Amino acid sequence: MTTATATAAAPAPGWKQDPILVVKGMRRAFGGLLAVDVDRLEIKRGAITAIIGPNGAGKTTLFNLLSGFDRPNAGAWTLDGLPLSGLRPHRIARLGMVRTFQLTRSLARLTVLENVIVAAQAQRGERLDHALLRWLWRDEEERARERARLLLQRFGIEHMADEQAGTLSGGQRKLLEMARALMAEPKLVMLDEPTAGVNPALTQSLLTHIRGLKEQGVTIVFVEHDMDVVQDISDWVVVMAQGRILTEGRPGEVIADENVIDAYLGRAHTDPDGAPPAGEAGDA
Amino acid sequence: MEFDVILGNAARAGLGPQAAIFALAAIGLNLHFGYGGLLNFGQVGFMMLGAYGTAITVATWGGPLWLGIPFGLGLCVAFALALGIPTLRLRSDYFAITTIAASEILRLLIRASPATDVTGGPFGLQAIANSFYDLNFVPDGRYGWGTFTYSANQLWVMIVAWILVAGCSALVFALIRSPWGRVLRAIREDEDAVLSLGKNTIAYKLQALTIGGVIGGLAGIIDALQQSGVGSENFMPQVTFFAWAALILGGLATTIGPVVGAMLFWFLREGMESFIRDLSAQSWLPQFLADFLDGSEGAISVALMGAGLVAMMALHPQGIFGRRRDLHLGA
Amino acid sequence: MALIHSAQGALALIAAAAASFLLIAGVFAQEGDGGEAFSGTLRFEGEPVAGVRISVVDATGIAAGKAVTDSNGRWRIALPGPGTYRATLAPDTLPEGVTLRHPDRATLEVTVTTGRTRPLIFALGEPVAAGPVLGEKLAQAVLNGIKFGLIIAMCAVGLSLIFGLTGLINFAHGELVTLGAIVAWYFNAGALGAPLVVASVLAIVIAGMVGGGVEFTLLRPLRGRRLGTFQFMVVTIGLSLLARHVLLLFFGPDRERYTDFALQAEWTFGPFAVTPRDFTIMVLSAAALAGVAFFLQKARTGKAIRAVADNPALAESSGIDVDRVILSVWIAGAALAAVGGIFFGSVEAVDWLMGFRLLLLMFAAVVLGGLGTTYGAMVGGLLIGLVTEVSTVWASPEIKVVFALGVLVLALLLRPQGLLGQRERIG
Repeated sequence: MTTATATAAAPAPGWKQDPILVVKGMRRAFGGLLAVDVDRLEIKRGAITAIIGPNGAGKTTLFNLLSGFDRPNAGAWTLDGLPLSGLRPHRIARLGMVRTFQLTRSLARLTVLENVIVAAQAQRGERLDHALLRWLWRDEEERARERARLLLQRFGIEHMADEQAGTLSGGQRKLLEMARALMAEPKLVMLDEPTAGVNPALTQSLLTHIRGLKEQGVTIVFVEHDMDVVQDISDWVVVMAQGRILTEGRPGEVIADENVIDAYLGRAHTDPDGAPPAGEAGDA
Repeated sequence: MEFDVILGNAARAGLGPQAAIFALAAIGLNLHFGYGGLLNFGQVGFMMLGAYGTAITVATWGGPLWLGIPFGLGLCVAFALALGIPTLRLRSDYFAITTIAASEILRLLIRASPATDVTGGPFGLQAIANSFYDLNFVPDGRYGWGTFTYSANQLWVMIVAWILVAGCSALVFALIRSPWGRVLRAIREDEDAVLSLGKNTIAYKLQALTIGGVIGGLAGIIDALQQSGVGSENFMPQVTFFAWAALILGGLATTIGPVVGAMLFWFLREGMESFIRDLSAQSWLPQFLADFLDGSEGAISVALMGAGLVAMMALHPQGIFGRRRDLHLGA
Repeated sequence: MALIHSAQGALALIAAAAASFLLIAGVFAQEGDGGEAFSGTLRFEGEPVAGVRISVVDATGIAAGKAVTDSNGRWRIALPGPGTYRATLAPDTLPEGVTLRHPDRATLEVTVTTGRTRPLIFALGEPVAAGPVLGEKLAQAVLNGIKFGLIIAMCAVGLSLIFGLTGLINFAHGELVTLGAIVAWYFNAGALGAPLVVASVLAIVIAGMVGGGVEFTLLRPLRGRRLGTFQFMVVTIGLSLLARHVLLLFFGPDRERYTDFALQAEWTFGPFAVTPRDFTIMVLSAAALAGVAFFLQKARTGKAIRAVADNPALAESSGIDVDRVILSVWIAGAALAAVGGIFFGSVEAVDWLMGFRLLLLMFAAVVLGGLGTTYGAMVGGLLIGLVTEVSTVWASPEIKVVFALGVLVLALLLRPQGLLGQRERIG
């Protein structure tokens, strides 16, 4: 498709001709610390984009801002040309941008099946004025239930459908959360560390699901620490450090980039205790 | 000891209007917290608005009772919105503190002497329920055995009140099993997760707060009808605590829990009071102990209810009908 | 087994507390003189004035009673019940040459609580110009506000610290305030006749022990089991109901005062007038709050408290004994609450519900300042005290608490994280 240029910092021309998500001038400060300071970011439609960077680089904060859970001090972003600034999280989700959380948010006392059904969009029975009029939503509910069962089947947790979600293992919760996000039929899914705390076997199955999503035409943005995973499935990699976008490009190029090694891999290497690198601490 | 008297008193309270009133208040709280995770510590404010709205319409403005009741419930809706819109986006502990504070503000305003012309101030309002008792079809007389006896008017209140309890239980049951209720229960588990799925969580919480508050308002209205009057001292913050005690006793997030809990609460409370009254009249009791118990049965029984709440949280926090496992999953 | 042991511990504590109160109560004298009444004595230049008519109407304007002063100038009117009344002295029944000092105050509006006889003063003498000007009233209200604010702040610090450490809203904190006030009253006016200072020290020690006892024998074992925040809240509600009604049983429903404070001459500083008692209370409260702040900043335990509040898991792993820190905060918080109770009892009166009434103001203070921030509780307390008292310059004192709670609701609308709280990060 495109010819990769030598410097990953300047993306190849032609790549991202059709961005689904465009972010401009987004800034978020906590106290005196600029947690996110992104001049421009474009996410290509139908691709898998990984956001990487050291701890405290602002990746999760960026997710929170994009999904409306936190408000930026400045900046604008659009989904399919629709401005999202100032919208509350549920409005953004309804426009087709659904996120997951770093720590899984399973709805513990609902059944696994209910966890998935609840993500269905535009259900009439969810309106208070229709809630008691069962005949208005019975068919719709039946269809949602069927779809939810199929999703559980696809993610291999159908046998748990009627158990309370709080009884699932950590890995199963990750699968459930992904199934739930899909139930909402999003255009773009934002996954915050989908493989964190998941055993290697399950990780492979998760990655297969993520690829499967791409084949269905869903755009995927994910935050990840595991470089193997990033190499494996991403089409494009964005590197963040200290709130800024350091560089971006194809996985092979980015990982070879000197700047990235300095900012991320290098520092992690010189800091074997895993303490946050200098300049990162302070906002906790 | 006259155990038949004590048992009769306890049973009368356990089935009487007070139990039905607290059952209604607890059903409202169950919708708030049991299903919606809303820590409402101001349920008494809704009860007070229902009762005063009705009483003011009848006693102050000379209006009919059938207009007073919707007016009282309308005030409950207004209170829910005024309380919910600013606070429901905050953390649940802020909501808890604000609700208890707001209901106490209301009580102080209602009982302040400048409000006397409307609310009766410290004197309350009387003679509001005549048209309600005119509808009573129960023939005059006393019904029951021994101390387990009701007057015709009490029976009439009880019939209406328990029908309302059944109706509200059925309403909450149906709501919770609808997709609307599923979203509400999901919000109880994790609001952010539900928000990220495109649900307007604040709207759901506001709706639940309003419905549960209106059910609390019904409790207040029954109380006003039962006493044929209102007084601000009936709406102290601890009324809310007692409704909570009834709900917890029965079991959170169960349909029958708030109803059985309220009956048991009043059965135990009145049983204890009656027992202590009886005990203080026993001749074998040392004089100083008899003097101490005499007239103290109210305070002693509330103190024991408090100790009971502590003991229940330590030993059986899920209540009678709740499931222990749910507690762990929720924590 | 652990379950049974801790429950036994809790029951033993409750039984011990009840037994100790039983002992205390045995010595309490029964008081209370029945119905509500107004009474007073009319004097003009030191001489009793007889034959003056005084009448009372209730809030709805219905006559509630009247009296004529006897040869000693004394009068008394029994009232039908508690409530607000207007008492009027008929100026035309005053003897020749005798006038009211404030002609506009021939009618007084007064609220009577259950079982109380309220003394009313109709001052006779040379008429003087109208009452204090607005500026003076305001200065006095500000001073009162600072006084109450300091007391509320002191009570609220413990509430805030406990919340910060354990996430627990302690509904029984008000009863620690009442406990301090009542125990001090018992040693001072009730039984021993000890000087208030001695009685206070005893009360503070006892309250600290009760606070620590609740944490050690009840809450700590419960924390070991997986109970949610809500279940802990219910435990404190139960404790609050229990403690409040035990206090009622043994103290009775009446309001009582400490014996040490007779009427004191006021010191005046410009527009401010303050009794030595109130001045002492303000200085001591401010000193105690400053002490808490210093302790949190400098002392080792204080730093440990802040570390645990910040991140319990991290604090634990860096070698801090979290349970010990929580215990010390319970003891200190309860002791501070007792001090607040004693001061409040000195300024107003001691009664069994005082702590519960103050609890709502403490909640307001804590939320206003930002839940869990200690300095926020102090600032919030001061603000709540000021708003409450300053409102009385314009509004009826009956509804002064409404202003405090109104400020709280307003603050939540404008700055939900509290004055000193920080906006939370999500995720």
